[in-house]
Amino acid sequence: MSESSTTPNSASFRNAALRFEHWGYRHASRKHFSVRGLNLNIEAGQRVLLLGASGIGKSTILEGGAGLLGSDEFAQGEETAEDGTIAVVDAEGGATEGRVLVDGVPVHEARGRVGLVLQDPDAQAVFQRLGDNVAFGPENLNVERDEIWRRVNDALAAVGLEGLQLHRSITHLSGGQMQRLALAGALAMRPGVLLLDEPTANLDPNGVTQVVGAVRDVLDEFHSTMVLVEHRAEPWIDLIDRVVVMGSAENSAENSAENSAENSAENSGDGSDANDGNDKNDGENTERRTVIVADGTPDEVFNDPNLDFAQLGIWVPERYMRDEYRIKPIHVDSEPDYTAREGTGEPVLSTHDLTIGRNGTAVATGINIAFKQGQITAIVGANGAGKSTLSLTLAGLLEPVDGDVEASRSLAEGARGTHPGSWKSTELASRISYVFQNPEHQFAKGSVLEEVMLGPLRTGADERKAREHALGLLERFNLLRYANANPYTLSGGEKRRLTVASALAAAPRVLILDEPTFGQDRSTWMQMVELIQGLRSDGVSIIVVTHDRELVTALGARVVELLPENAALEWDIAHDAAHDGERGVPSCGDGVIPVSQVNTRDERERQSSRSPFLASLNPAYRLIGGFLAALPLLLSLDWLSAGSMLVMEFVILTAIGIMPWRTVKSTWPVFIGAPCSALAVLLYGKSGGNLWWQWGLMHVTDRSAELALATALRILAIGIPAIVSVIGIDATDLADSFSQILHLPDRFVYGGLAGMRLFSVLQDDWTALTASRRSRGLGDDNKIRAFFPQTFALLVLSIRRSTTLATAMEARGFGGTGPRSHARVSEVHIRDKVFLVVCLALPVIALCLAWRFGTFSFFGN
Amino acid sequence: MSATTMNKPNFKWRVIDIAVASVIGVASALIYWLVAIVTAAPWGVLEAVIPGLAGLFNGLWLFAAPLAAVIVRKPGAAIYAEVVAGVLEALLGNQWGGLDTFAIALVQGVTAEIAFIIFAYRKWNIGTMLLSGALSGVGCWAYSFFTHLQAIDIAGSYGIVYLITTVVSGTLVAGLLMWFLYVGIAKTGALDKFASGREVRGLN
Repeated sequence: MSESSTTPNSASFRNAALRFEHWGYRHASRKHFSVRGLNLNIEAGQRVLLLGASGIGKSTILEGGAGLLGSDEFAQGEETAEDGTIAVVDAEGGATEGRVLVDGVPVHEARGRVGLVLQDPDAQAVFQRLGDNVAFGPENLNVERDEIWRRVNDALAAVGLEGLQLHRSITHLSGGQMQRLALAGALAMRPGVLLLDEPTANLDPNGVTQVVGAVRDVLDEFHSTMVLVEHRAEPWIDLIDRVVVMGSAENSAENSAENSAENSAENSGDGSDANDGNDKNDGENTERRTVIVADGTPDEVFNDPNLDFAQLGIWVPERYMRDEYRIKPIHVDSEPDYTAREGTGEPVLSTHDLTIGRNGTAVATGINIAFKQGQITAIVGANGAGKSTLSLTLAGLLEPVDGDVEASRSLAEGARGTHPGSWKSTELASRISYVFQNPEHQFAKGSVLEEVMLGPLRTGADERKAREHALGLLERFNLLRYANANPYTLSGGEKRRLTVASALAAAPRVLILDEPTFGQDRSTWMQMVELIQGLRSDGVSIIVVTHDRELVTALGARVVELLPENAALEWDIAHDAAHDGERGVPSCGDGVIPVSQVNTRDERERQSSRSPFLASLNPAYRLIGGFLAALPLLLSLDWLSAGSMLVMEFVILTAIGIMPWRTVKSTWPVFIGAPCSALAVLLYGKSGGNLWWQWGLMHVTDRSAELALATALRILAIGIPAIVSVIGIDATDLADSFSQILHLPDRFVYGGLAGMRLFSVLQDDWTALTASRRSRGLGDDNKIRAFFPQTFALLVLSIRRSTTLATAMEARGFGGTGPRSHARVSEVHIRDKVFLVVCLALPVIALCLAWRFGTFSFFGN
Repeated sequence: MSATTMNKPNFKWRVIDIAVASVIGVASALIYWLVAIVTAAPWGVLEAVIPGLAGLFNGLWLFAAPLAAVIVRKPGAAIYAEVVAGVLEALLGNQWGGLDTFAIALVQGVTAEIAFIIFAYRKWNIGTMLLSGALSGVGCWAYSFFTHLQAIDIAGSYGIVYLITTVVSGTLVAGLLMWFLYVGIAKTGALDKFASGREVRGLN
């Protein structure tokens, strides 16, 4: 924290040269190499922008450069190509050719010299607390503790996050802050090369500015070598001194070992490279080659008249814009004669003094807007401002906090009432459709054709009609050849088109799309825009949630901005704002919706127990103590040992600061579980003595009643310490304790911890899956029937997320065989040992009492 | 193109193995929690029809271990996934109470793992999955009678019915259903980085 520490040890921060020597990689799922025969030499200190269409292999190059592909440690064998090139097959089933060198050293041996920042900010956080995420890389490099925290402070300062508390939870950080945190995490490893894989694709304009600024400061200070992959390069262009453009060409026989790469069946490729899309029809394609089509300074490359950037799928930065590349309003043949901004006729959907929010917490109130047929409305605003909350509420997938969303009479005809929120799922599906940002939230069937047929079938069409309709849509969306493919195996751009096709299949009158163009290259983007524009002729009212300015321009859309208090307008909006209009009269024009402030909170360090004493104990000791207190009681099933234990527990818990009512409140589940088990024992337990009641197999006797009482008391006596001792333990502290006190292997402990952080992400996934199933007409199924497909979708999502998590962790040097240091100390004091003794003494006393008074009953016998 | 690929199983855990096994545990913990809510009412109904019949639901809390094992195919995967789920549930607190979930998860993980140990982690088919599901059912049943159902005669009608229903449920849900779930997940391409996924997709 001292000022002097901000001058880094320059020797360890030396920038490095990155060199690909005849390098290539083939993913396990592919027949062809993603990249092959790549020769690229990046000098130390150079700042390179790598451009090319989706699916061309840019992410593969960065992962290779970061040493995340083809580790020899797990090599499974070798294969030799026709020309004698030897490829090493790794445990992931991929094959590597050639090598990657960092300052002349093979990248696998240069741990920590290359830092990688990925696209998805949420996927890169391993720990709940901010500081721990930055410390993770240095820990994996076995950096000594004091030095780790020095580096953490330096790195956070370098990315402009020095004001945030280290114990702050990352849950409330904005996308821009999260991405700067990921950058800090990479910087703390003191890398010589920084690889950035679309670091700003997920961010709003403000977030983009933050991240670009942070990277600029870092490069100015450390002169690191940088390789950047980003579709929209304009904000970055000042930093760049070399541009490498990748393109694809049909493979010719004499060149088969040169720079070849597999591409998607069509040029569209992946919506996002990270998505590893792969095709069913690999074998049918001619192998496409990825070649470096241009390499030079930004001026040389972007001013080269021979390059057709539109055809290469590349966005040209604004300052090099030539007229032919500028995005203008896009028109399609079938377009109606009214504008997209205005629409036509009466509104189909309108809101009246609507208050939106989640779990009853309002984010915006008094919203009066309306949507017309053939109108395109863009809902814009910063990340987290509530755009999705508004669109989900409009779609009838989220309950309004107050006020209402009303469908026009023609839209509501035949449905239950005029509020979409109260419609049945099938009624909703044929009226308002919602396309989720993540296509995988939406898939419900095993093939592309069934996926599109689902809507019509659910809304009453017969099999033949549904099939006809679906095939027509697949044709229109250029997906016909995948009719029998599994939806998950499509590329990113194809998945997105499929979700739009299946949303349209039920013939909705309102279509809502959440970020339909996010992370796409210029070609896929263009296809999507034309598709959306083409829907207007069907009289559909379209609502897009977006922060893509080109999209709004190209569609000629009306703009509604959600604006946090005290923030400046980001969009130039004519002032007939929804709010200023006549009260209660929904506006059909552009507008501004004020929303309550986000991201302003200060957090106090969380206490791990209501009892200061328990909170001061080592987590592993708390866990062991809980077991010691509980397990001995299993020896005897009698009311006295259980009852006396229970009394002692309440007394002791009160003494260490947990009041009895608080104990009951935090352990309420056992107060429900105990009577249930007692009932089972009462009716079916061991019998003896007088028979009180009998019916079928049920016998209530003296003995069973006594055992039932003992069972209930004992479940409470075991359950209370088992819960109170562990509840509130911070997962990170527990992991540290498992690692340092119990000496469990770090790989498993921290791997498990990282998985646990995804719990809240998966909860959100579950909510999204539930909403998407309602939107698709599947929401009326009974709970049990709906449960299994939804569980399947959740597990697929969780595996995708964990694969990304593994990449992010390995990029921080995790998983190596060398020693690891610990940034946090897990301490054991005398009081921890005293705690264990007391925990064991309590059940022993209780059992002795039972023994003394003759109630001891070994295992209930 | 000539290839020399060793097909002997590699028992060393990669980072991705750890990540996927732990996230299967975490996702399962979420599902266990949802199952607990959904089955609360029907549980009572089934118990009223035939005592011990509600054991049919138990398989819904047993599936993490066989699923993680068949996907990751490393020694200890079944135990690891269950323990991650159990620790998470313990920290969150649920109706079985803190450490109790941790303990039962450990028992179920170990019994599920036994099926794969018997075949030295070389047989990954529907048979070993069914066995694993059945064994974890036995673990679940034994744990219940060892702890909160001590007062019920383990060899009596309730104990036997509960054993049968739990084992049947474990076999069907944690074994059979998880086998098809694994095949379904593999078909999505999500498991291409695993030998288990490539086997289903015919990529090896």
